[in-house]
Amino acid sequence: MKKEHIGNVRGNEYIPVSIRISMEEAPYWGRILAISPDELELLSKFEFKKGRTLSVGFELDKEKLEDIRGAVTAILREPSGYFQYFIKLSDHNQQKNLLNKLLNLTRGQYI
Amino acid sequence: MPNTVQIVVEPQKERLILESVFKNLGADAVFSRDLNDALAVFERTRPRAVFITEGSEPPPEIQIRELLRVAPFLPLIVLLKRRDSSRAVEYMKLGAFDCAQSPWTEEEIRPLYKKALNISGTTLRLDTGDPFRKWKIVLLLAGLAMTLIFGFISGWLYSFKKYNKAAPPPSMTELPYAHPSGLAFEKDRVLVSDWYTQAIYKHDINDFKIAGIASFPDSVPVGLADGADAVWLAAADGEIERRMKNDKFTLLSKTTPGPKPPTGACYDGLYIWLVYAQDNLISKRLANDGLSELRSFTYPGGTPAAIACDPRFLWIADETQKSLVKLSPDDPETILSRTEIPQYASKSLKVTGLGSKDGRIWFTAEDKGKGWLFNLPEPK
Repeated sequence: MKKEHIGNVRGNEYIPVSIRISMEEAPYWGRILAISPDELELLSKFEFKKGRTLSVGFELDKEKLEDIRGAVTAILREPSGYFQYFIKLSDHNQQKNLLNKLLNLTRGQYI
Repeated sequence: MPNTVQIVVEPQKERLILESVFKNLGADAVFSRDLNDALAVFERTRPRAVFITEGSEPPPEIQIRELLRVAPFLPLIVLLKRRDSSRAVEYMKLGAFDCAQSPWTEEEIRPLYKKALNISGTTLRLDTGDPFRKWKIVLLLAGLAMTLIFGFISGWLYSFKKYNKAAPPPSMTELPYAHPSGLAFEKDRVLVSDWYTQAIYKHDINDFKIAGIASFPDSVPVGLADGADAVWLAAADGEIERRMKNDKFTLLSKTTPGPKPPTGACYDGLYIWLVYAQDNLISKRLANDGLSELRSFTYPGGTPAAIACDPRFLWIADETQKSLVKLSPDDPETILSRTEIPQYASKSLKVTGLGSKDGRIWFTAEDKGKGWLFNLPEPK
């Protein structure tokens, strides 16, 4: 899957996220660049392999979402050394939950 | 723009480590011991990013708040003492751009440093495209237009040359008279005699248009032989007239070489050759006024219909064999070659005159009540 490089980002404006790759290892962190019920786009200076399942936790609309799982489907390495990850979400219930939250967040914006 | 970064670090040991790291990264590092110190030099140094170490005073949360109050878009990076994502996420929520984990090495800090310098303030993206792009497009279009124009002109010239050539003369043409009996040549004209209208017609050799007519009310031309400056005209009554090649074909001499009129006559530059179809005879004669016969030969083919000569060969149109027969003037009784004539495909075609000029054999013929003139390349 070819992904377009999004260029420079205003990092402070994106949602901080903790990233766990296993229960034994201390979690990493990064930021969410884009969010949809199907896919997350992450920016992190930590390197994860393509295909690896990540479990992410973040706060959306003052509500904590934990252990959102998905596999890395594409990686873009920026010249700075940061990585953009495209995470395909795998849990149907989590996707549904995320969709509802996004609908609540965007309600009224497009009417 | 200088790569100035400010680092808030208190312990001397940590400062030495960070000094080495930022020096290797090529950064112009300004060190402060605490927040007050940092704020005091902030206005003067105008750093592009501030690195806050955990353990310096006051705690990073307060330093982030105060620094962002002074410079809201300034990237702040917290250097953590250990990897703790919950703290990192908290600092980021407070406004830190990112956090680095311990140990603080060049490899660990490099992406943070590079990214922080990249995102300082509002992102302004310059057009990184080729500044000569517009000119390149203009040049490309101009080149394309030139190529098209050149191609068009070349094509036009090519087609002009190819299709604007003068059309070659047709190899077969219908004559405006129906009874041609012989042919001769005059520069770029073909002379054709017609027994019914008792005339010699001058045709342009290129388009066969009639360029002149000479009438002979007193004789009926049944054959024509070509000479350098005269023609021999065989009449129906058996007479052979020698006439000048002028407009009126002025009579020079006439004689009666035999009781019957010849089927055809030709002049090879030295002798007059007459051919008689009924007797299958070829008669070789001197080109004097009396046309003295030197010798007669038996024609070795079928039925001779017409004869043509040049200094090398005698050519006879053979009506029975439907072909053009080549004979040697030295031995006319031996056929050198026989070539079929495509025009004989029409069974009613009757060749009435023959001539040889510039490597082509010319024919006059009658077919279905019409007169025809055609020529073929000389057969080998």
